[in-house]
Amino acid sequence: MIHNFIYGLKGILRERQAVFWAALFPFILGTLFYVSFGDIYERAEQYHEIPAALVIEEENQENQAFEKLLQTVEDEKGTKMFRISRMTKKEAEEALKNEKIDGYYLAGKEISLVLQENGVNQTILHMFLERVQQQMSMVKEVSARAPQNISKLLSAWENMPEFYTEVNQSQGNMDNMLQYFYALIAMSCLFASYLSLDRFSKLQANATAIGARRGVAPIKKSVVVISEFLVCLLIECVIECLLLVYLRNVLGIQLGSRIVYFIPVILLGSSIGIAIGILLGSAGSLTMPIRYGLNTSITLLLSFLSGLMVNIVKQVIEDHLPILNRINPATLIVDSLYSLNVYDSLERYWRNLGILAAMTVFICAASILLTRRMKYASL
Amino acid sequence: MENIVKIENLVKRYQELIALDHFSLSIEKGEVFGLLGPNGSGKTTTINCLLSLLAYDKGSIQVFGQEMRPDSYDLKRRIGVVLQNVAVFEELTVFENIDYFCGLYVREKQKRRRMVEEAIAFVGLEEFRKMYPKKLSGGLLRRLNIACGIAHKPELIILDEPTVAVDPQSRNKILEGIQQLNKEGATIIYTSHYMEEVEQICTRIAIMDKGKNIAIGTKDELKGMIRNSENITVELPEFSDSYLEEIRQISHVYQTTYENGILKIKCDGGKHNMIHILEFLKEKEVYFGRAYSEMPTLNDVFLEITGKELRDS
Repeated sequence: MIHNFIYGLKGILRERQAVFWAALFPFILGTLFYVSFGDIYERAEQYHEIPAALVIEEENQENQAFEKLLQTVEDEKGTKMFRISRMTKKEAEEALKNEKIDGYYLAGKEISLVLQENGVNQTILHMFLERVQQQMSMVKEVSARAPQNISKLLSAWENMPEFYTEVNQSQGNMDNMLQYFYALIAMSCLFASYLSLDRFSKLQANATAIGARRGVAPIKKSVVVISEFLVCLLIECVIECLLLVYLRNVLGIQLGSRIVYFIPVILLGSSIGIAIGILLGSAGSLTMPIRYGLNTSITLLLSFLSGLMVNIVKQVIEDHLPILNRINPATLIVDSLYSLNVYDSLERYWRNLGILAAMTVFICAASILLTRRMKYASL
Repeated sequence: MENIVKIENLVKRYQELIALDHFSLSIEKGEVFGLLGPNGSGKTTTINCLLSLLAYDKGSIQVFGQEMRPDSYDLKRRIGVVLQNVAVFEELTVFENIDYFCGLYVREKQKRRRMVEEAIAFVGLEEFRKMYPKKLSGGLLRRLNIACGIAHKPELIILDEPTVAVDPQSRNKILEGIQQLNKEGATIIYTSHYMEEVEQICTRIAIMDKGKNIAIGTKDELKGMIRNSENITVELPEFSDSYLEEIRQISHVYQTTYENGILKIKCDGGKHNMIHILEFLKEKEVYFGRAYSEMPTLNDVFLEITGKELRDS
């Protein structure tokens, strides 16, 4: 076992083609994702300010103060909350109609808000106005009844917490773009199949001459299978850990706070990838180019269905053929990572891992049963 | 003598094609047994069935007196195999390859290291021990292939066409090595379509054609099975075909051909056939160039039994 393991390890580390697909390709793709999505992130930052307009129908001190407040108010990160443009009523209505602004404040004797749709930005605009009106009426009341307490009131407001804060329901990062990186990790795990396909084809007498030579050696196939599996798993887990470090620490992708829980996903994800390679390496009397072609097709198809290329694919399948998402290992990996970030409960995470483990055991057992003590029909 | 291999009535079909047709064979301890036949005659199929790599339709195979099965690990431990296709890991060095395959048979590290060193010396790859297979020439690669198969010092060594595409120097080295292994006690099964090699090293030979064992025996026994006992060749720039029939009337001559200035005569016994032929030519005042006499080869055996040349099949 140890003899096979050591030489298997040496063999894989020197096998450039397999290592390229298993290791380098996900790094390259991850970098490309980062470069592509970087622009989207920047644009997302720019649009964080809520576009709104102010229509002043009556010039007075209160309205001028309100305009100044709108232009200076910031969120807790120091980002301006509103991108305010002063417009005429006609211009504001036109801009609202064309969705250039989310709403406009109409400042006459009273200040009112005109909205066209419901949404988060509209709610913020509404709540902001409510809060300002509430405070202004308090100032008026205090100055009328006890003008000496005005300074105390203003000081109290300064020490108050923000009147609204975005509260995330989970501990993780719910950024939609993360799905692509989860799918990338899933694809990388499945690419372990390149390692195992190469190694296991060298166990089949009808696939390679080395397979024939090992077939006549006095060693149980299960011993070689287990040692080769462990070699592939070790190498793949190292690759996945390096990929995680690269995504998290070099590219700065916020993968979430439950990074420890990524380890079981990587272990089982790599295992299912290895199992796919074992199955293809053991399958019938296919030539090596056909085996590699099948492997590429299967892993890329599964990755596509998990949302690697188009994020929405996974959701479309969930809506129309959910069973496919339950048996697609790539989707199970993506969903495990996704559920870590979205749900506090680990129920869905463990369910996905359970399915992955069962599938791995099933595929490996089938492969071993197909090949142990085997005599080939033709070589 | 102890029977090392016994194959009885082996039948192997590939759909309509019969690769082995009731093939039987018995190999005794200490033999260098040759399986000779043209490409596609069933030599490699026989070896693969013998090693339990290939399923067969009918018959039985015994090795060291026991039935050979895929899980006959105790039997496999005593066998060394050098397959037709080079079977080494491209990503391991010469030393590592031999050590890996030897390690499948021998667990003890010190003993294995000694065996690997001996195997390297045996095939003459001392200078190449740290090189990767892709850097080796075809001949050296074949030597590595052999070293991987014999490093664990097996009692039975099966070599399937080990000299295909090998330069003469490596070929001689390989053939000498096989004889050396035999001297050290190993029983050898050697398959080839090169009759000269088989004649050179094998103590007993089975000639195969279309999955059948068409003749078996020592090379002298095989040659004794055919009518031909002497081949006489004479270079004749000019020759009248009418003389062919007259030459055929000479005692012990049974076949004459004249093509491209070469007269070929087959004889079936007699001691002075060459003298009789040359006297005839002198008498007829036919000028001749080189003339030589040869003993029949295994090709002649194959030709006489099957009606076709071993080389051209």
